[in-house]
Amino acid sequence: MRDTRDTRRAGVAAIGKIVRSESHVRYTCQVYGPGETAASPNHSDYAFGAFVRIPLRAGATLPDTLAPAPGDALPPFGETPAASAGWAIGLIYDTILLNPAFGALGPRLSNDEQVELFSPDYVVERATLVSILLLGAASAGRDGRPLMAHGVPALAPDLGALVSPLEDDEIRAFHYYSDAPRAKPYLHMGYLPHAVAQDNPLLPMAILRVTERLETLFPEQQALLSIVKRNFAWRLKVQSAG
Amino acid sequence: MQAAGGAQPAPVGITKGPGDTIHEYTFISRDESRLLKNGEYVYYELEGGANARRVLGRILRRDPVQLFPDTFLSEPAVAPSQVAALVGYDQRASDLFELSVAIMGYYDHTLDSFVNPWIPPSSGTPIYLADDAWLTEVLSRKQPHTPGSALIGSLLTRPDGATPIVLDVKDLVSTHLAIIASTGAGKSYLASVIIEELMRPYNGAAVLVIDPHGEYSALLEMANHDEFADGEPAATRNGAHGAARRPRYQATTRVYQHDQVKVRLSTLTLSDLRYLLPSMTDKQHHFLGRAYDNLRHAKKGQPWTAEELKRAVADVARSSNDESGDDSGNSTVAALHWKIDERFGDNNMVFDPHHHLGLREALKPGQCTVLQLNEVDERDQQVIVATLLRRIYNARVDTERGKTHEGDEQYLNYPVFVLIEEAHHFAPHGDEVVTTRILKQILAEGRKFGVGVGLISQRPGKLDADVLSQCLTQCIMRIVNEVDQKSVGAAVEGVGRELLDNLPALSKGQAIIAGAAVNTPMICRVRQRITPHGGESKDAPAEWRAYHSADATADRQRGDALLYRNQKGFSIFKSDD
Repeated sequence: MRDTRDTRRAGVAAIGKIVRSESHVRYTCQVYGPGETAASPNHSDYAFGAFVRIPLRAGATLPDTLAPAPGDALPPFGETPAASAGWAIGLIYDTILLNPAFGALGPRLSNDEQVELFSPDYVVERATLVSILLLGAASAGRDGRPLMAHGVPALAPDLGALVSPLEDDEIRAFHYYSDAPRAKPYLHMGYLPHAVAQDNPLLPMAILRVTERLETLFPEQQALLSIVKRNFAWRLKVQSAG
Repeated sequence: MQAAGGAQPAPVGITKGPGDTIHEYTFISRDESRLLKNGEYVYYELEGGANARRVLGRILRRDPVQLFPDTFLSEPAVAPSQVAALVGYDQRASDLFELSVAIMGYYDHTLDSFVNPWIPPSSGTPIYLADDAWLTEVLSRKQPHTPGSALIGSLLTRPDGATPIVLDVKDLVSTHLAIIASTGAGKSYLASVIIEELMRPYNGAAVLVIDPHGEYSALLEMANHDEFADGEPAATRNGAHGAARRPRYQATTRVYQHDQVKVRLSTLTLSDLRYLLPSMTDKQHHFLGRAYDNLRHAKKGQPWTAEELKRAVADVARSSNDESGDDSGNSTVAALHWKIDERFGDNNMVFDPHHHLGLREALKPGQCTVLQLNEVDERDQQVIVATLLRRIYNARVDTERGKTHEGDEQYLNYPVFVLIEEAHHFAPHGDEVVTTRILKQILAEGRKFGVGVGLISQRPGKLDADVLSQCLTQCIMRIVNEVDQKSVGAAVEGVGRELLDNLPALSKGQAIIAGAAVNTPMICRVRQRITPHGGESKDAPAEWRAYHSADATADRQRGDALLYRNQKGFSIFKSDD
C-alpha cells in the first residue's frame, strides 16, 4: 500500500522548506538550491500563483530547522501526514532572490571557482525565497474522505516544514467539494476575502492568476469564475490605471 | 409574556430604533419566509406579564440593508448566491431588511379604537407578526355575518379569506360612504358587494340605487340565492299557542326603467324650474318666480299641471301689463310658454302633473330599488335625483319629528341608504347644480334622520370637495390620474399619505378601506359577488367573430335574399312580364 502511494507521489518532490513567517498566514519558503536535494525542484513548481502544501504542526517542533526533513516522499494528499494535523494549502505570491554577496565589492582572496575547489563545505549563500499565503487546510475526515477548509487554518506549519507543489487533481479536490456528507459539491474560493484583506500589492495579481488557472481546471464553471475574474481584472487593470 | 389569546409565536424581527417620525419605528428582519410585505401588520408588547398589550403597527417600507455587490449580478446565468458561496458565504439566506412601521396603537375594547402609546419600542424589543384571528378581531368592529355587518373582502396581505374585513353598517349608513376608483377598477363590483351585504337577512336594509348606466340590474338575481333569504315559511312552522313566528325574509330587487320614474311637477322647486328652463332673461325669471309663488299659494300643496303654470305666468303678465299700462309682458309670456311646453309638454317622459314614485313603494326594508336613468337627459337625471332626495329627506325629517303619520304620502318610518353612481354629475366641482344643495344637506344632517348616502365616482377631481370630505367611510380603488389622486388625498383625511401612495399599484378588485366603518385604514381584496356582475365592458372581438360564424352568416344570407326579392318585387325598374 505504502509503495503504491510512494510511486504515485514519486514525481512530486518538495520545493523547499519554511524558514520564516510574517504572520499566521504568510510564510517564507527557501527553495532548495542546486545540490541540496537529489533532484532540483522544477521552476514551474514555485512559479508566481502556484499552489503548494505544507504539513501542519502536530508534535514537537523539529530541533534543527535546516536539518533535512524525514524523507522526501510525502504522504498522498488527503491523508494526514505522520504525526501531523493535515496540510496547509498555500499560494506563492512573491519571489525574492537573496544574494549576501551583492554590494560586497571588497577584494576577495579567492574567487568562486577556488572556493568551490578548496572549501567543499562552504554553503551557497545565495538563495531563492518564495512568499506563501495560506489559503486553507486539507485533512483526512473520519471516513477517509478529504476534508477541506478555506480561510485561515487553526494550526500553523512548523519551521523547516517541507513545501511541495500541488498537482492538478489536488487543486481540483481543494476547490470542488461539498460542505456536508450528502450535500451537492460546488466550487469554493473561500480564501478570497482574507487574501484580498492582506496588504500586499501582488496578492490580487496572484488571485487573478489563480482564477485563470481554475478556469482551465473547471471549464464548466466558466460563467461563475468569470464574475470573480472580471471583478479583479476591473479593479486591478482599469480602476488602478484610470 | 402572554397576551390576549394563544401561545406566543416566534418573533419575526428585532426593533432597531425610532423611525423617521415620532409614530414610526424600524426593525430588522431576515424575513426568510417573505411574510413581511408592505402594508403587513406586526406588533410588539408594551408591558410584560399579564398586562401585556399588543401594539399594532403597519409596515410602511421595506429597505434591504444587505445587498449583493453589483459585480455579483454581472452574469445572468449565475445566481449571486452562487458567487457568495464561492467566496465562502454559504449561508442559506443573505437577505436582511430594515422595516419601517407606523405605530397604530393597542386596541382598547372600551373605546373601540386604537390608542397610541406615544412612545416607540426600545431597541431590541421583539416584533411579532399579527395572527389572522387577532387581526380579524381588532381591524373590524363587527364579526362577519352578524347583524350590522358588511363583509366586503379580506386583508390583501393575507391569503384570501384569512382575515375578513367587515364594515360597520351603522356607521356606514349614518356617516356616508364614498367609493372612488378609475374606470375598470371594480367600483360597481364593490358597490354591488356592499349592496348584497346590506340586503342579507342580518341587515335587511332599504336601499335605493341611482344607476345612470344600467349596471345594477343583475341584483335582480338576489331572489334566486338562499343567501338573501332567512327563516321558514310561516305555514310550515307551527308555534305552540300562537308563539311569535319567525317571518320569512326574502330580499327583493325592483328595477325602475327610465319611463317608470316620474317626477310630479308640483314637487319641483323654483330653482329646479329655473335649472330646467335655461337661458331665461331677467324678466322671464321674475315672471316665473311670481307665477310659481302664486300657483303654490293657490294650490295649497295640491298637484298642479304645466297648463296651470302657464296660466299663472299669463296672469302675472296681465297684472304687470295693467301696472305698466302697455303689453310689454306678452312677449315674455310667449317665450315662457314656449319653454314650459318644450320641457313639460306631452312629449316629455319624466315630468307628470299627478303621478310620481311612491316613497314607500320604492323604499322598503329588504328591498333594493334600482333607478335606471340611462337614456335620460343629464339635466333631467339631476332633477329626478334632486326631487327624490328632497322627498326622502323631508319625509324622514317630518316622520322623525312626528309631523306626518302612517297613511300620509310623506310618511317614511325607517332609515334609507341611497347609493349614487356617477356622483360627480350630481355634485360637480366648481359648479352648483340642483342636486348639490340637497346632497350637502343630507351629508351634513342625514345621520340625525336616518338618511345615508353612498357616492360612487370615477373622477374624484370633478366631484365637489366638500361633498367628498363628508363621506366618512372611503373605499378607494386604483386611481392612475394624478389630479384625482391629489383630490382624494386632500378630501380624505383618515387615510395616510403613505397608504394613498399605493393607489396606482392596486389591482382590479383591491381597495383601500378607511374611515368610520372600520377601525383603521387597510387594503382589502374585495370578495366574490354572489350575484353575477353586470358592469363589464362589451367583448367587441367576440361579437365580431360571432358575426362571421356559420349560423350567423347563413341567417344573414337568408335575410338578404328575402330583402332582395322584396326590392325586386317593388322595383320601378321591374319589367312587366
